[in-house]
Amino acid sequence: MKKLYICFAIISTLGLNSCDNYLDIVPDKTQEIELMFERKEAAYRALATCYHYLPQEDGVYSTSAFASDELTTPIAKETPGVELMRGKQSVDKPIMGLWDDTYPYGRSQESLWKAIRACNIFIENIDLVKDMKTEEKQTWKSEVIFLKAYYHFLLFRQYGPIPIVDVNLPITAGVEEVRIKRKPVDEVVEYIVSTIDKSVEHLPTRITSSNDFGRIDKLIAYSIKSRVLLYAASPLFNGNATFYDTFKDKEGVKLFNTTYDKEKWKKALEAAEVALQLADANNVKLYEFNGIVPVFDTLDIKQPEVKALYNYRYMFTERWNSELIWGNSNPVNNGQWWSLQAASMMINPDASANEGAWQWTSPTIQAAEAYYTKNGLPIDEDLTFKYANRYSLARVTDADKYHAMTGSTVMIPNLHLGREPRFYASIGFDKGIYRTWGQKWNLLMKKGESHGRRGNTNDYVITGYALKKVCHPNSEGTTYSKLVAYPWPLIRLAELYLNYAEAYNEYYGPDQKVYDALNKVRVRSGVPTVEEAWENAALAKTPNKHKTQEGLREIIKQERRIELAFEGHRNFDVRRWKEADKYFNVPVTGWSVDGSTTNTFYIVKTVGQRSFITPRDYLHPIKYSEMIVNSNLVQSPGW
Amino acid sequence: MKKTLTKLIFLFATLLLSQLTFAQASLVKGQVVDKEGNPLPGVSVFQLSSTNGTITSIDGKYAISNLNENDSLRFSYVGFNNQVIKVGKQTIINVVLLESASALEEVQVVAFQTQKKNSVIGSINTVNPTELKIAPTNLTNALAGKIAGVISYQRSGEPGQDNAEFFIRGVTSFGYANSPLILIDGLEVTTTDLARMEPDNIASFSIMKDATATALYGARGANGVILVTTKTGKKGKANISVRIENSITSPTITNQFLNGVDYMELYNKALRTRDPEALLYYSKDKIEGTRNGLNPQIYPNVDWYSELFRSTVQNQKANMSVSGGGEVAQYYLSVSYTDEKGLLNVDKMNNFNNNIDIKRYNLRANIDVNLTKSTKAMVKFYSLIDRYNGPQNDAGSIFSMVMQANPVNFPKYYDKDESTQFVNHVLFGNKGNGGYPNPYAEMVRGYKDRFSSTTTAQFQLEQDLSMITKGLKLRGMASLNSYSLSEVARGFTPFYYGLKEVDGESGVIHSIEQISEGTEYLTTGTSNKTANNSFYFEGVAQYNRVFGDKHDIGGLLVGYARELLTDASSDVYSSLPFRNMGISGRTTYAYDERYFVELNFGYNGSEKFSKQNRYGFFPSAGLGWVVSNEKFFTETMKKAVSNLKLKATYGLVGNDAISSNRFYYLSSVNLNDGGKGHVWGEDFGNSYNGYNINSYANPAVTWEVAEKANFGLELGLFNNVNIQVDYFTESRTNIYMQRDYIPASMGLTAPIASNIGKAESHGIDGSVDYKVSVNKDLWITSRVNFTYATNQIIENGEPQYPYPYMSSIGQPMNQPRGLVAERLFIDEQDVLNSPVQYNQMGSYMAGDIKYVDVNEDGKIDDSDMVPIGFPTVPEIVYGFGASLGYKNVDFSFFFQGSGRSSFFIDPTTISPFVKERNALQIIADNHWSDENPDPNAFWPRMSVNAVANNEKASTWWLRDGSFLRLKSVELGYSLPEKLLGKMNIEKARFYASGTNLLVFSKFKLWDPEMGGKGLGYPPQRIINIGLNFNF
Repeated sequence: MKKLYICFAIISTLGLNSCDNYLDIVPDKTQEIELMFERKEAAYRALATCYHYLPQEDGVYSTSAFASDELTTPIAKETPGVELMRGKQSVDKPIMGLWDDTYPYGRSQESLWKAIRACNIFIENIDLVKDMKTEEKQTWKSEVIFLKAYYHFLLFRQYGPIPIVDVNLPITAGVEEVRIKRKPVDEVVEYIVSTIDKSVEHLPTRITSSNDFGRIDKLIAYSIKSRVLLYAASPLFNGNATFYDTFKDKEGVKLFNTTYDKEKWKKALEAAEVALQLADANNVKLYEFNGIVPVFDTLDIKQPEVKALYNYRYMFTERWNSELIWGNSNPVNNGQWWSLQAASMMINPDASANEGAWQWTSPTIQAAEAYYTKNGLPIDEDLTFKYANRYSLARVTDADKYHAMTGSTVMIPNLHLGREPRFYASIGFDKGIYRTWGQKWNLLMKKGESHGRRGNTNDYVITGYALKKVCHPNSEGTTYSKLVAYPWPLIRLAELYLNYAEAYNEYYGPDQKVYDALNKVRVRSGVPTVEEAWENAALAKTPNKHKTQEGLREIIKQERRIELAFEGHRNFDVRRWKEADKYFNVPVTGWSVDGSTTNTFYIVKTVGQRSFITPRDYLHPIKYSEMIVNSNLVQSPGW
Repeated sequence: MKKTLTKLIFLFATLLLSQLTFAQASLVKGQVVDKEGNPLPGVSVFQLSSTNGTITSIDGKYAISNLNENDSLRFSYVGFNNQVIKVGKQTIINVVLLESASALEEVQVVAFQTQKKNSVIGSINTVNPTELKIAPTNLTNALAGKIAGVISYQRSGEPGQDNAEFFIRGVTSFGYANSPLILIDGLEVTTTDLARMEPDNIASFSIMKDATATALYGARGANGVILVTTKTGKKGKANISVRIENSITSPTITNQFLNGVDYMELYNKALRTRDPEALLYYSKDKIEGTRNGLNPQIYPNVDWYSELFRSTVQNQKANMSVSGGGEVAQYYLSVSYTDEKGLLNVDKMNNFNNNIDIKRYNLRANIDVNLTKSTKAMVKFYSLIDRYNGPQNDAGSIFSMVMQANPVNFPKYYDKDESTQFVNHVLFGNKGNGGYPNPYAEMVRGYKDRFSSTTTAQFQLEQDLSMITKGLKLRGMASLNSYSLSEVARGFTPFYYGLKEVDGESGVIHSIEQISEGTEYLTTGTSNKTANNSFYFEGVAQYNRVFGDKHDIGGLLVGYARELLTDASSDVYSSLPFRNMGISGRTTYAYDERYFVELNFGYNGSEKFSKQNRYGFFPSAGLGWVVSNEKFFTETMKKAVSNLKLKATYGLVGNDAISSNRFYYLSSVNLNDGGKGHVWGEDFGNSYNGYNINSYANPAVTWEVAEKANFGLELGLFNNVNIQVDYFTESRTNIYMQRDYIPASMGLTAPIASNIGKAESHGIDGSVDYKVSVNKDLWITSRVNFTYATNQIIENGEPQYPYPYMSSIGQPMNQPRGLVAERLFIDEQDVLNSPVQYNQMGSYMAGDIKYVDVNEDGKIDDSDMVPIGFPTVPEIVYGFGASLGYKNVDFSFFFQGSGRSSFFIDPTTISPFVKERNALQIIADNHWSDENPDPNAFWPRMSVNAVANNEKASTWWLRDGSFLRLKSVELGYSLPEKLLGKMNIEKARFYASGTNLLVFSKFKLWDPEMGGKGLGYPPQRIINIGLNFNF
């Protein structure tokens, strides 16, 4: 009997005495954020997280290259970029807005606000790491400070006035505190620039350890600063009273400074100068091909126009070449189906498989027409070019034998004859020559042909043009893994020259310094100099155009359009120049790819409608739900 | 038997005698029996208005003298309704006494103990377990309408997956869990455990609804408690009971699809109605060929539904129990077996069974041992073994797949031709590059085998401490429960074949070609293993004593701890044991059976909260007044009102099951997240993973609190009507929920949640019982149950919406939202003159749905969505039914209904022709077309592509979910005792019953109880034949 009482006593008191211990079941060593900043190896992961959010410009569903008049897709394959250009932007589901998480196919692109929060966490905590030297911590911190500025810039580029998040708000922040406001453009630019400046001090001048390629250095920071200031000086953001005179926040603060300030160009110019000097000092120079020449070109490479072709093609795709200032070291075309390269590769007629060659990214006729003639002039400015008959067919002569099939029966449009090397390096056309897969073969783009539309498949180039520029010449399309991955250029030296030229011309007007900068870019690709092209009255319809500020401005813009084509710049350049109505509001055209004969194929037809509403579409809309959550935000005008 | 015979002879004799006796005799004799005819000994027989009286003898007989014609006799017996009979000229008065309704539940099961029925103040409903014997295999399906206070519905009829959803007093929190705590013999179990209970083994089934009733369960009882106790043995010889049932089940309603010809004609029409230029998809040749029933290989016309499913299936069930015992030990043993099958066809080509076939073995042993005069030990064992065999994909998805496959694409398989005659696989039909759903192939391509077992062992020791002080008892209980499941699916990949058309000289030549390669052999696909164990301890001290005849004092103190171990191991937190513990107590005081007071508390700790917020204290109190026991309540009043009781309770209940998170005070960070990494280096080789914050630490998170009040009335009328009504209110605060006002610019990788929500609910539930014995042979009982529960959100984390109707505040939880559909567009002019609908969404035209621009901003978008219809969980659930018996025959029926609920038809799953989907007959019968431009047609202008405009949630697709169904009908016959005696059988009853026989609803497409899931496995109509023996 007594035993029983003891039993009861145990049962009834057991729990009560050890109550607290019983419920404390979480062991030590669970996963807390502090652990990211205990050791260097863990801190590396925290650093990787800060870099992780860099937008995937080489992903076919995330690249800005489609958000232009340069590139399009068959309707069934519409990428977010094409949807944007077709006027499908909405406040309910913003397209390509980096403010929100977006989920294009492939890797999702998360909100850059998450990136900025990760950066701030890193900056606040990196000093806690025990097994790192102070200088190293400083360097890492500076990289992240730069990234924070860069992420702000990417948002600024889309939204203009944006909130500034220099310090993270605590999780417990109250309702009113979390409703942060858009800040005026000048303040945003000032923040980005001063943050970049803050980062520069402790950054290495140039990353030299091959293991660290892709990490931030001083040259990258100064180069991006040049781009930021160029944007800030541009018409969209500088004194844009026509669009944004009444764009104010809820307290009446003007979000755009509507007074034009020429000095902004000077700042851009100085920044470009500084970056160029630093590039020069660090042996960063425009790329020239000096690799192993494939057998089929060992003789032809001596021809300047063939060399120029190699210069330009490898410039973009050769890993870590001398011109690359900042490349994204985390490319998607590392064996992934959603890379821009895989979608752009053309099928090798001799290959047994073509998994990595979708052949459906389609450069437009607008893009094809933007390139110069071999004389370095726009096609409508070159008196020797048959501009009016550019769509008419002609025989290919020996003059173009490096770029197109010759033969008595080969007829191609004048548009594809007598053009500058960058055209041939970037765009593939019917009966054109394609150097890739270690071979030289011909593109056959008509319906039913190897590169044309076959059956009713949706994998076809809707314009009849192939995009060569993003494809590494050594890539093979048999499997995704045989595509040669390369760091997508986030900024390269040629852009700095163009930034310099633009800023100089805007601030001081035409000058030899501007021509020199442009010529560097032109000559590398076998294009005659500005002076050679424009001073020759026998060639140029408008001779000496480069001697007026307006004329030179147009030349600079076209140079930029050609040199940086398909790299994701076009969408933002056209908008900062306020020229979207001219370029983005007209349909894009291509050849009639459902034609199987020369006569039925070479008919220009509209391949995609484009819609741009001014001024609404100059700035991205903020998502409707975000507007509701944050009542202190004002919507971008027109949305 | 002998006794019965003598009884009958005696009755006869007295009857005869009565004819002979003189009319004005002063002696009256007779026998008192219950409704089964058993004699009742000890019944008081009194002459009204005097003290003259007697009691019945052991065989229920009595004799009373000194009476005259004007006198009346009152027959009264504890637990039975009184009867008053005027003597008149009778000399023999035989009486059948009926058990009073309240007396059936004289003793009420309450938390951790039993209490006298009339002293219970909390809101507790008890169901007679026999009432739960309707659906043969799933107890949860019997709850709807049977118990006042339970909101319940069943969405699927798939065997094994057909648990009903149920809520006590409706949904009261929009937080995480709303399901009640289910206890079987004091142990917390899952809904499935409850579903598998054998009604024959249930001794009592109660639900506890208000704060005082659930207080002792502390944190676990906020959503109400279902308390089930199993039968125990009684002293006496072995009592054996056997029940065998065989049932035939079939779907209540089946979906109607188009035949091949109608399908193709309508497809072509749908194509042309949006694009008059479009090439016809189905050629005239194909349509005519199909109409004329030409070669079904080339002109298939497949009725997938009947190819896949049989119309009926038979299930069996057997149950046996033995109980009895001696002075020292009593036992109750039960074993049962059920075999439940699904409606899927099995192809002869496979030697495996792809149909659902569930075999369940259920074993229960409850043993009570009297260790000493004051010490009692109880051991309970329970074990359930569940063997499941079924298709590789779940059966519900096969039902839905019928919707995806049209009748004319291909036959279920092709016959082998010359080129394929030697292959040893089936030539499953498909077309193009494959990838069209062939539901038949999906169904027969494999099977799934699952084995699960549940074992519970429970040990309890009870000590009467009357030697210390009278009325004190101690009790301790320990139990463990173990569950394991293992599942393997085996299947092959079907070979798909298609038809090739080649233009030959003599016309088109058809041949079969392989589209995709499969496997001829089975491979094991998914496998799944789960195991968990739980341990539970409780100690109870109990004190009950009556002082001075009128002061009844009771006290109870409980301490318990529970631990659950699971095999979850997705991260460290989920792998840790789940624990909770608490102490709780109750004191009761009753004065003179008239006034009752009760105070309760629960004090709980939860592992989930930080130390400063870990414990919660939840008190409750109640008052009761039995008006009918007052002195002023005269006997005459009692004739009309036999019982009148008023009660009121108020209290707090806590809840820590507020989300699926484990430890709110800790953050959860993936410190090595491959999805957040980056790569550097020349050849992209310097690769690092990143980190991701999955949840942010919030040490302030604490208990969700429910403040509950209940006002109840119990009323007994004329001894045969019992009415019980409760009005309740509840206010939930501290509901853990997301703070939706956090903008994206915060940059958080996980939402932040805290105790910010608030909701209120109220309602009324009640029941009316009526029991009467018309005479010795005929008795009737009937019951009505009614539950109404509604709720509204008072506070949540929502942002400030620009339009008030966008807010959920003030709206019920589960309130559907959608656009207001005005009608279909009449013509293109109408489209042009109306606001733009979802600018970016795609085109729409005449015959598409026109929405109302609620905020009048000139465009239709998500900001025009308003609350529409009733909540998706019904606000009203009710049931009513009656049983009657005449001699050896008994009959009962039960209706069950639900009201005030809405659901959406999902247009994305039924829109015909999209991806060559099948079409429902109703769409063919009633759609907008140029010939029939009915702006209110069931289906808008047809299309072969999805029309995003028409797929928005809107009033167009909203339907009223209310229904009334004839839930059950039963007819039984018990063999007469005379016959049984010879066979040594105590009782034998044969019965036939039907479940889900009829349903009345405005909605005709499918069973309305399925709500939006109408293409799934339909609820079953069951015809059941059974017999029940007692030895």
